Amino acid sequence: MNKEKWFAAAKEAGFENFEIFQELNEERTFTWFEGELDTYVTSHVLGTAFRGMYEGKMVNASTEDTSDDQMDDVLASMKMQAAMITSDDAEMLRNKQEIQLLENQTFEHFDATDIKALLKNTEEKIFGFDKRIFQVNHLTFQESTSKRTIANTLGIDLEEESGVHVLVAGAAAKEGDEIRTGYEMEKVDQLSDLDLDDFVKRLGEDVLGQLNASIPSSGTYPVIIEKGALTQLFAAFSSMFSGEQIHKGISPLRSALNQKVFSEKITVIDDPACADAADRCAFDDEGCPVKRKTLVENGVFKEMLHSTKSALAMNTQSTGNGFRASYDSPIGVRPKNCWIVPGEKDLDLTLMTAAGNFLDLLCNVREVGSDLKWGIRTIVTPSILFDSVSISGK
Amino acid sequence: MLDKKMLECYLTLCMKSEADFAEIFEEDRISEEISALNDRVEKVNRTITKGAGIRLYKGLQSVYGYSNETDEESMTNLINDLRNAIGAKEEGINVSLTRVNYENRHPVRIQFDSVSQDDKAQLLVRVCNGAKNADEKIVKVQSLLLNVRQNVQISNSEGRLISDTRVRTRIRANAYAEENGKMQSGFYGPGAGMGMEFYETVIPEDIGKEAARVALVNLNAADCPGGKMPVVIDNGFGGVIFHEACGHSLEATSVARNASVFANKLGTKIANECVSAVDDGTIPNAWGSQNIDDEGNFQQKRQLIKDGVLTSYMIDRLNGRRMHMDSTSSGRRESYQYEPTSRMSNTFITEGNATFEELFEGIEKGLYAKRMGGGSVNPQTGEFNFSVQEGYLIENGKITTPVKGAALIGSGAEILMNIEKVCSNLSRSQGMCGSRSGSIPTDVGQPAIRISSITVGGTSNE
Repeated sequence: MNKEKWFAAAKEAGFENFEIFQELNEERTFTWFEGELDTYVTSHVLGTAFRGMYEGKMVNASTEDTSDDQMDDVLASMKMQAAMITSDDAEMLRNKQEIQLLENQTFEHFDATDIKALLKNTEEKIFGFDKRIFQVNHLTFQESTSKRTIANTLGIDLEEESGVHVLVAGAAAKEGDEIRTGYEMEKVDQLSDLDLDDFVKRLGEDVLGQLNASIPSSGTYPVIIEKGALTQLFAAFSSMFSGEQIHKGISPLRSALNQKVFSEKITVIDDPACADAADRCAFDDEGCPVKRKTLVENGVFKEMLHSTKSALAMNTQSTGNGFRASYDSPIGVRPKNCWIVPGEKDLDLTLMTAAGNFLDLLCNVREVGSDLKWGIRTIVTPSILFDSVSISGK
Repeated sequence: MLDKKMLECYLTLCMKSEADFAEIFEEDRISEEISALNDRVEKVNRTITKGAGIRLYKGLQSVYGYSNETDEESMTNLINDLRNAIGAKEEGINVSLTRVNYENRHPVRIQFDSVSQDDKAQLLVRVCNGAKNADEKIVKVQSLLLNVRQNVQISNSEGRLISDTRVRTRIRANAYAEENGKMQSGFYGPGAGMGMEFYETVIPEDIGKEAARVALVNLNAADCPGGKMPVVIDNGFGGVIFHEACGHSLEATSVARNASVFANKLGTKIANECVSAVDDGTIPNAWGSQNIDDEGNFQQKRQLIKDGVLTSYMIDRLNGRRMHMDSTSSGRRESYQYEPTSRMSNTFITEGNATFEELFEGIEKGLYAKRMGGGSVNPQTGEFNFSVQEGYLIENGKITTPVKGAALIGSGAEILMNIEKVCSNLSRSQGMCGSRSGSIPTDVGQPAIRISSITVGGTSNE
């Protein structure tokens, strides 16, 4: 794609400024089932998104067809959209800024034969872990790489690459008529570094630990919510830190800045460049440098997340959290590499089914566990022991 | 889209391998999203998706590759990569394609790009007005108009070449009610496999009003008590419970690998006799309908359960091989970026004989789930959980106090047996279903049903 040609055409069409965002995703996935390779998937997808300022309005478009003969149609469609926008919210494309890029990580593509041998070995070890495991219902090795570029007429010209290998396995165990399933995932930097026995042990303990569970009577109990389950809950509520949601008045934290909102045992950090995370970046999808933020410190809500738009609306600076959900989604305010800071205690886990208000739950913390684990996630929590949670059982 | 001659060349190249079947799925999709906060349009996003996915089978093994670079060199490289993965050969069959023509069962009268942007924006303003006029406690209204036109062309080594155009539209409304510092939201989001003529069949103000009504009910709702109790689930989106708790476990994706509670149960009683259910991808212009599935087979109506007896699974081509059964035209995918697998279309419990009032008779204490929220299921164990978006207590056979924070927890096999009454007020609602082959539009539905006992998760332990 000739970006300069697009920029010139946009200027000619009357755009004040114009931006081209591209994401090239490549992937190889091997799936193993019952002793043989089940599926192999390979992909190469280049997505392109445009943003432009036209008559003071920000307009968006995205396409997988960037041939030059599409240019006039795309620009005309974007101009039509500008006329439709009636919101008074200020928006702008960003100027070029000094950005400390992350050090280049060399990404190694593993040999397909080695990957198949790993999957075969993993399946055998899972079956060998305990005779109650009767099925390995999910076993994949995925290698994915991504290259992101942002260029605009204000001088931004950025590029960043990332890649990750992941081993994922799921198993089912049976005792009597009871069937339980478990699941485990591991980021693999080098095949030789992978502790497969530990991986299989974690999966085996997860699935077997659920067998013979009794149903508690309904009531209120102290409850430990295990890190995987709590991570899902926390991720579902993470938009509460969004400056956009707060500005619109639809976040539960809409008027809580500098107030105590959770237990003093809770501290929340967001750092897109966090060295422990698998998916790191030096700049957000607007080309703004990222930074480490303490969103909640000892229970007090200290800082919200911002994109350029939400920062303009609240008269502050972007925190570098203007991200797209995918290349074809508009920029929104999103946490990236966000976590509840772990404590020091090793919690003894019990599995329960709980109900309640998540914000109330985080006010009710007895102990924060020490078991934070990133894997390939971008939002994580350790396990937490809560004082009092409603349990619905018998 | 690629022309017939080019497709024949590519498929012939695919078959110069140990593959016994090859397929090319092409997609060209335009989608448009217009979002508003209150009566102001905030964002417009138009997306063009264009690419191809190629699949080769060798027995039960499959290799799949996809790319949005469909020039000859890229396609040839992709095919060679797949041939090498499955076992390349010098010889193979020559594929000759015959185009299959058919009558479109889902005609569209008004394409979304023939309607002015102002008229589309006006729809969202009307949704906002409907919500705001419902009550002064409605402080914010978010709305989204979604329009999609997806052209697909599917060709395979059996010589089939077939195309389809799927047009869909939907408005989603979220209304936020606030009182004394407390805020609650309500959602309503109807859609159809139609063009903009859909908005002649629904009133935009009513969409906003319905979202506002749910938010207002929850504003003054008490905490829901937990424990086992009888539950009446209303029609429409109440059918999400059947979709999640039973539908996913009837998909060949899990059945073929014996990873479903309903595997090997064809012809056996899996539900109470009052329960019959279908998955019908042929309903004209329904949200989950298509002329053909994403493997190029004509959509069907599948009778899943008849009078409590399991009569059919939902089967795609590859899982059909594993099960030694024919495809039921259930192969679906979000886009060319996904390999298809067995998925639902418009799935619902069919009408029963009970009246709405009869569902409540004799219930001393229970829950009336008027509107369900989202949920999830583990198909292997059949265990599910769902949130209740709008709920009320049932006390001595009557609907009484509104309650919030309720969840329904149980297992699909158990719940099907515990459906003891089915009403005659069938309706369907629209949703997006996520699974291995991505996020696809599906209708859920049911008449109101009564479940004799289910675990209700709640925050009040009265």
